[in-house]
Amino acid sequence: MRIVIHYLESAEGIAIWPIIGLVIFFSFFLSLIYYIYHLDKGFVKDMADAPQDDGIEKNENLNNNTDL
Amino acid sequence: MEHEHFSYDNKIVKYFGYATILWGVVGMLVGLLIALQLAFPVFNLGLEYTSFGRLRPLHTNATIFAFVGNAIFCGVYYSLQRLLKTRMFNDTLSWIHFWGWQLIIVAAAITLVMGFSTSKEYAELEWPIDIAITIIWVVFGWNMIGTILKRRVKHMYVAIWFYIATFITVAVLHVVNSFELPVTLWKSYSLYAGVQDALVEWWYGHNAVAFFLTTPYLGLMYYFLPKAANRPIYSYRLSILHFWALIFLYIWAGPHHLLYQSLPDWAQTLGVIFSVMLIAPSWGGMVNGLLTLRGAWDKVRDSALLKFMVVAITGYGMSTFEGPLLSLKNVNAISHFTDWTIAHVHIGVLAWNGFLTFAMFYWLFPKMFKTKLFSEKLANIHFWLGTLGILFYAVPLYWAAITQSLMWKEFTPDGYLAYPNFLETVTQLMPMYYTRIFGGALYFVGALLFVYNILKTAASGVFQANEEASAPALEKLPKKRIFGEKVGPWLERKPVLFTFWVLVAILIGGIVEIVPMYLIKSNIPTIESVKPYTPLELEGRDIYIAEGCVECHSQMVRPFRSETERYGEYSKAGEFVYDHPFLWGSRRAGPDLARTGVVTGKMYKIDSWHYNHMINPQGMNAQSIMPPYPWLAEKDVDLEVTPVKIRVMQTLGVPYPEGYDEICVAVLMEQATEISENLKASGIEIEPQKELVALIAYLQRLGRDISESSEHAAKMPEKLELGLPMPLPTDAAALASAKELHVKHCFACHGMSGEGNPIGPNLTDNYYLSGGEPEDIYTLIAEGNILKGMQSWKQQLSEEQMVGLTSYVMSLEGTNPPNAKAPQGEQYDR
Repeated sequence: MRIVIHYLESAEGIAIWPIIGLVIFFSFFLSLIYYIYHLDKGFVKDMADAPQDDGIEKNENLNNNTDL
Repeated sequence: MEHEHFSYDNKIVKYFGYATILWGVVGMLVGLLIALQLAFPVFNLGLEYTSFGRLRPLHTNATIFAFVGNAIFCGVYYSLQRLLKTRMFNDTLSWIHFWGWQLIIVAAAITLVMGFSTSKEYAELEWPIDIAITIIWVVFGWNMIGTILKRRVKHMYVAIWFYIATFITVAVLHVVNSFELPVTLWKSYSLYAGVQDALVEWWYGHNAVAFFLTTPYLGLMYYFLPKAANRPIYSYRLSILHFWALIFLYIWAGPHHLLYQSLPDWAQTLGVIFSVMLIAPSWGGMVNGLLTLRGAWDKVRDSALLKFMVVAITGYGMSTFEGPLLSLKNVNAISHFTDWTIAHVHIGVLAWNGFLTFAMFYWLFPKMFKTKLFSEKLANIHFWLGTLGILFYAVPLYWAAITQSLMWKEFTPDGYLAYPNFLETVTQLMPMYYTRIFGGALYFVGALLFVYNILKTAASGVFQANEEASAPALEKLPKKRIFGEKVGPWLERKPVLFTFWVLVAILIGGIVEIVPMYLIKSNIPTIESVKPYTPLELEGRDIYIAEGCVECHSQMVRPFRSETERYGEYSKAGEFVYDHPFLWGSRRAGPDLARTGVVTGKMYKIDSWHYNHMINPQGMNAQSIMPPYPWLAEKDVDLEVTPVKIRVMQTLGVPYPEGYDEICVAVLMEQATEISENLKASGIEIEPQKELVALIAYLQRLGRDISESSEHAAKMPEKLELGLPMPLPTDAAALASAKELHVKHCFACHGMSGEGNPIGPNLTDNYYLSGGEPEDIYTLIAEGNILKGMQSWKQQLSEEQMVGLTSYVMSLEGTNPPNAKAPQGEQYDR
């Protein structure tokens, strides 16, 4: 750790920080785009429907109601 | 599959809902009052508890943490249970959370008006309340994570991701920014100093907007918009991108609040780059919200609550477009320290937070009370009042901002400031301030209709405290990824691991920005002549903090010619190394004070000027909007605490000598007595121990560290003899225009009729302190006599104007106005 601190204390060319930041973000962003592009359609639809499905009795279909 | 039966807790939702309504009304009412204060200082009511500096933090805290905070909890407790198909983890935790949060709000309201404040924006609350917030916040997070763990659905919907990010990030921000060393029960000093404190504070401040006003509301949008429109969100894929890109980028943007200020360039650049990139995820989110309504715009026409949603989401888009714009350095150079910032945040809070809250409640309350909304018509009226209110609030403020900024920056053809008197640039804004009050009032009236409508709805329905539901039990999920399962869906069913990765995403930006600021010494070049504050100045600084002076006065001269001409040398990072906390400010309703102590500077005023100005600012400048502070002349500095303060400062690394705490009271009294004697010479009686003496000492210290040599020069002024550049005018027109100048510039120290006052001598007798020849009078006006308090006018007035004033002063001789001051100096007979 001391070595790291020493290195930072004497860092020259501090402009490296924005560049590191950008590189980290863009690689993250690109992999994210790749990931959402390849997501399973059924999974996406199920997730998008989540707010409408809250398990409240009157919203349940008839089958479930006959269970009661 | 076996169905489990359970019930949703609506009671806690209702309570948070009522708390939202109560604090919303209080917060807006205080906002209306401080808007009135900025136009009519009489609304400061002459009480310390109701002066602008104390009420403005109350307004921001009440609207953000009380109004929006309770609305967040209300919406989260409702949607979380339903999205996860389970009751909240633990009802006791829910109620500890509710009552704890309300107690914090009450404690905040009381302490802020009492003047217990750290002065760091949106984090003004003192350390005991900070600890309470941490505890209650953890209770909230515990309850939420617990609920997620006992859920009956496999994956977490995107709204819940936003709630998780809110919980974890606000916790980190609050804890890191609140590191402070207590002095007494209600006083502490920030662990950080100067530039570091500024960076940490704006990393916090910016992300308080991001993770308290934005991410939780995005979560609410992703739940309540599909609910209200009865259709799924436009693109669930886009919402994933929105979430991760937003939380990753937001955390870096803090330094855009400190552009052109004493912050290393690399940090400013980081802030700008990431702020500009933020527009992408933000607009992705807005588009996702608006397109959800595609093909359903006919519903918007008929439904007030959908109208509220549309304007809320549009407001989100507006502010997140404006944010990156304001982060560009050249735009920021114009917008910063003006009302633009105020307009910007109000688009965010009034449209995005306010309107989304209203929409949510118009949907939620009829649902919880099993009834219809009491009046759709009233809701529509509310919508129009609110929308017009926002426009009447924001548009005049944009106008005011540009007007004032251009006036600050305008130069005459001769190269002088066109408006050297700061007050002129404030007076110009008054029509815009009146309109802002009107806009705020419209919005407030709309909110009152909302309250009435909601209460009537509640009264007409039957509240169901526990709503029955059923769902199949969740099968036991394997910990490891199932074959073929992608990382994302796997992570979305692993809440603790998910939370950990959110934490990683938000920590990267903070670490990259804040850590180097500590370790790399070249970021804050040391200035040899910068010394710790004297005990009296330190006490004065604490009064400055308690009274909220920083709400209107910056202490940060940016390196622009328009600022160095007006205030003096631009501010350096090394000047602030002993400032716990920093006091750079973010808005100039009054002038910058960083150079008030520089004796040869443009901002310098003598002690008696400060005294009179604090007691009755309007007496010195009728148009001044500064609140009066008469109580400072009556309250004593608590000398028992001074040694504790010195010891705490020593612990923080401020180099007071060993044992200084034992002699600091004596040192303090010595300096205070000197100021008190000085004031006595001007005919002002004040005991040395009074708070006002300490405040004057602090103001006279500002900027002095880096101007020692110029002070030396002021003590031995070169004796100048200027000749008259033109003959003395004697015609009535010239004297009349000189009189106008007198009323504008001179009356504060010499009285309206030249009769003199505790600051300046009588101009109507034939006694003179610096000679009575026309050349002597002209020289005095042009060059001033800094040590006696007469300022130099040659930078602000033309030669012709100064000659006119000379003639005018001579014409006053023998006019014998009432209340004339006793003669000073030597008699001179013409």
